[in-house]
Amino acid sequence: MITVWHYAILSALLFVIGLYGALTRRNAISVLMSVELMFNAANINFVAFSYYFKNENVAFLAGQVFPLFVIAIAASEVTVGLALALALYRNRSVVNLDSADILRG
Amino acid sequence: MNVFFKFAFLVPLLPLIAFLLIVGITRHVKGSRVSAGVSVGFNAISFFIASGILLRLIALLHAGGAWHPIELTTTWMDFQNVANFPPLHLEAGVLIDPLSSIMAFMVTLVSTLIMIYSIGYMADDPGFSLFFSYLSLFVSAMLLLILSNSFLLTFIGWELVGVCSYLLIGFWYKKPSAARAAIKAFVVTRTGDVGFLIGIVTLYWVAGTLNFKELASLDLHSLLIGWMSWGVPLLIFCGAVGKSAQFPLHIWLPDAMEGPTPVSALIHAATMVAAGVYLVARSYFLFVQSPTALLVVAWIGCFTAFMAATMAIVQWDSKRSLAYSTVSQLGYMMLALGAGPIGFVAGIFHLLTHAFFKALLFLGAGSVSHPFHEKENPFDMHHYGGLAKSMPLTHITFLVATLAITGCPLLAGFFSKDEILGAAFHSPLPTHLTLWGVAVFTALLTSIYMFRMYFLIFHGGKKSDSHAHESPMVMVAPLLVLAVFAAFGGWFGFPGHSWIAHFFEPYRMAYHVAEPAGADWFGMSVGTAVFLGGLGIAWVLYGQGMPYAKLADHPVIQPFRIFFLRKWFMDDFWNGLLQVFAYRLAAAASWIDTNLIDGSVRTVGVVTGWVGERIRVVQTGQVQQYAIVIFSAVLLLLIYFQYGGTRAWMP
Repeated sequence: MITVWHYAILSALLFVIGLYGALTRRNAISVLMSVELMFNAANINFVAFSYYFKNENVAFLAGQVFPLFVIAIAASEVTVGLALALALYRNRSVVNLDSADILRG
Repeated sequence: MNVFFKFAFLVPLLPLIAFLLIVGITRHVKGSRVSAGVSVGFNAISFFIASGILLRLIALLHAGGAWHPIELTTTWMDFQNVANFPPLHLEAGVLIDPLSSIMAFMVTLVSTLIMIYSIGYMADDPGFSLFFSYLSLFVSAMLLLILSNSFLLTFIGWELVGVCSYLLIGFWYKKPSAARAAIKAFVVTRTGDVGFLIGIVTLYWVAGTLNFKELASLDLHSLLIGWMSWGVPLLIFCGAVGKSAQFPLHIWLPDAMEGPTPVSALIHAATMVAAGVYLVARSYFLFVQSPTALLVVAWIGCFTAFMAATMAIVQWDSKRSLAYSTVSQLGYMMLALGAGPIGFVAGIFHLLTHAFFKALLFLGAGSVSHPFHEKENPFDMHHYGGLAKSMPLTHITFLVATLAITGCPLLAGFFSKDEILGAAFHSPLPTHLTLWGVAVFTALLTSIYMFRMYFLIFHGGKKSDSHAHESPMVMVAPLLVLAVFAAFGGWFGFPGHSWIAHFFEPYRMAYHVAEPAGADWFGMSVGTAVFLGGLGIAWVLYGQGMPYAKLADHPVIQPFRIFFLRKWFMDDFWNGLLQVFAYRLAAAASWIDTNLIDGSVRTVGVVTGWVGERIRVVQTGQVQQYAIVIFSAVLLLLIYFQYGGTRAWMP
C-alpha cells in the first residue's frame, strides 16, 4: 500500500536534491534545472495531499489545479532565467554564477 | 454712499498693482521708462481718489449734524467651529475719518511728486525699474497702514513699510555702508515692533477686538486695570519709538541716509517715520486715559527733539544733518501728542506741514548734490558754497523750506510749531513749563542749524572746482509744487480761523477739548524771536564764509562739539549693550549649535559609517551564498516553531 508518506518522502528527496544542486552548482543552467526540481517536489506534495485528503472536505480540486499554475509559471520563469544566463554569457563568456558578483559589498 | 468712499480700498490697492506690473512685466523691458510711468500713473489715480475722499469728507463735516467715521469692511477670516480654539472673526477694512483721509491725501501727493523727481534722479541707475517697484510697494503698504480699520492690518502695513525701508536703504547694496545701514534700520525698528506686537496682543486679550472704532467706544478705564492702563499704550508707543526714530531707538535714521535721496525724502522724512506719530494719534484713546503714558510720550518727544537738534548742528553731511532735523521734528510731534488732547491737532498739523517742507529739503539737497555725484560723498557740505547763482530754482525752493522749518512768520512751520509750543505751554502735564522751555530752545537750535546749512550751501565763497548747474526740469518741478505747500500749507491752521482745527472737530469733541482760542500773541512773539535769533547767530557764524571757525576748537566748546559729533555716544551705548548681552548669547548659542546639535547629528553619521564598514563583508555578491543564508534561516524558523516558543499563533 502506497501511503501519503511515500509521496512525502519522494518529494522531500527531490527537494533536497534540488536544493543541493541550486546551492552548489556553479553553472547557471544547472542551477535553473535544480530549481525546477524543487518546484516539482512541491507539485508532488500538492497532488498527493490533495488526493489523500479528498474526504476531509477541503477544496478537493485546488491541490490538483495548483501544479498546473506552477508548471506554467515555472516555464515562463525558465524563459527569463535562460535569457539571463545568455546575457551573462555574452558579458562574461561563461555562465558561472560566481562570476556575477559586481554587487559585492 | 459717496463713490469715492466706495472705492477707498483702491487707494492702497493701486500702488500694489503697479508694483506687481513692474515686477512681472515692465521690469523686463530694457532701457525704457515704462516702469516709472506705471508707478506714477497708478499713484496719481490713488491721489485722485484720496483727494476725492478728503473733499467729500470736508463737505460732510461742513454740513454739520451727527458724524461718524465711515467704515468699509469685509470678512477676512472666520473660524467659528474649530476644535480647541475660541471663535475668531477677523475683518479687513478701511476706516475713513479726518485723520486717515488727510494722511492718505498727504502721502499720495508727496509720493507722486517724489516719484516724478526720481525719474530724473535715478535716470542713469541700472536698477531704475526695481527702484520704482519698491517705491510703489512702499506707498501701498503705507496707505494700508493709514487706512486700515484695525491694529492688525495696521501692523501688517507697519511691517511692510519696514521691509520696503530696508530694501530701499540698501538699494545700492554693493556699498558695504548701505548694506549695514539697511540691516541696522531693520533691526532697530524691529526692536520697537516687538513691544508694539506685545501691546496689540495684550489689547486683544483684554478687549477682545482690535478694531479702532470698537476699541474707542469701549470703557477702557474698567478694561485696562493696574499696569495695563499705562503699559498697553506705552507698549504700542514702543513701535512708534522705533519707527519714528525717537530716543533711544533714533540711531538708525541718520544711517538710513545711505539710500537714494528720493527714498530719504519719501520714507525717512515725510511718510514712514511719521507713521509712529500717526500710530499714537490713531490709538490716542489709549493714551488719553493714562496721564503717565502721556507724560512719557511728551518727555521722550521733547528730549529727542533737543538731542537731535544738537547733533544736527555739527554735521557736515547735508543729508545726515537733515536726518537729525527729521528726528528732532518728529520729537516735536510726539511732544504735541504727549501734551494731551490740546496738542492733538498741533501734532498732526506739524506732521503734515513737516512732510512737505522736509521732503522739499531732502529733494533740494539731492538736487544740490546732483552735479557733485562723482565725488566720494556728494552730500559733503565742504564741496558746496556760493551755489545760489548757479542753481536759482533749487536755491529759492530750499530757502522757502528752510524758512518754513525754522518758523519764519506766515510760512508753514511757523503756525504748526507755534501750535506745539502753545500746547506744551498750556498742557495739564506736571512738568509742562520745562517741556515748553526745552522746546523753545530746540526751536532756536533748529533755526541755527537750518540756516547754517543754507548758508554753507548757497552762500560764502564759491569753491573753485565746482561746475554746478541747475537740475533737469523733471526734478525741479516737484520742488516747486512742494514749495507752494511748504509756503502756504500753514495757512490752513491760521490762528483764530484754523481750518484744520475745524476739520478735526470730531476728535476735539471726543477728547473734550475747548474751541481753540484766538491768536496767541505771546507764543507767536517767542517763536518769531527764536527764529530771528537763530538766523542772526547762523549769519554771524556762517553767513560770510566762517570767520569764527577757530572757535570750534575752543576748550569750552570742543568737548560739546565732540559729544554731539559722537551722537551723544548713543551708538557706542547700543554697541556696548550688544557686546555684553547679544554677542555673548549668540556665542553661547553658536557653541551649542556646533557642538551639541551638529555634534549629535555628526555622531549618528559616523557611527552608521563605522558599522557599515564592518558589516559590508557580509555582502559577497555570490547569489548562492545568499540562498544558503535564506534556506538556513527558514530551517531555523521551522525548528523554532516546532520545538521552542509559543505555538499559539498556529491554527
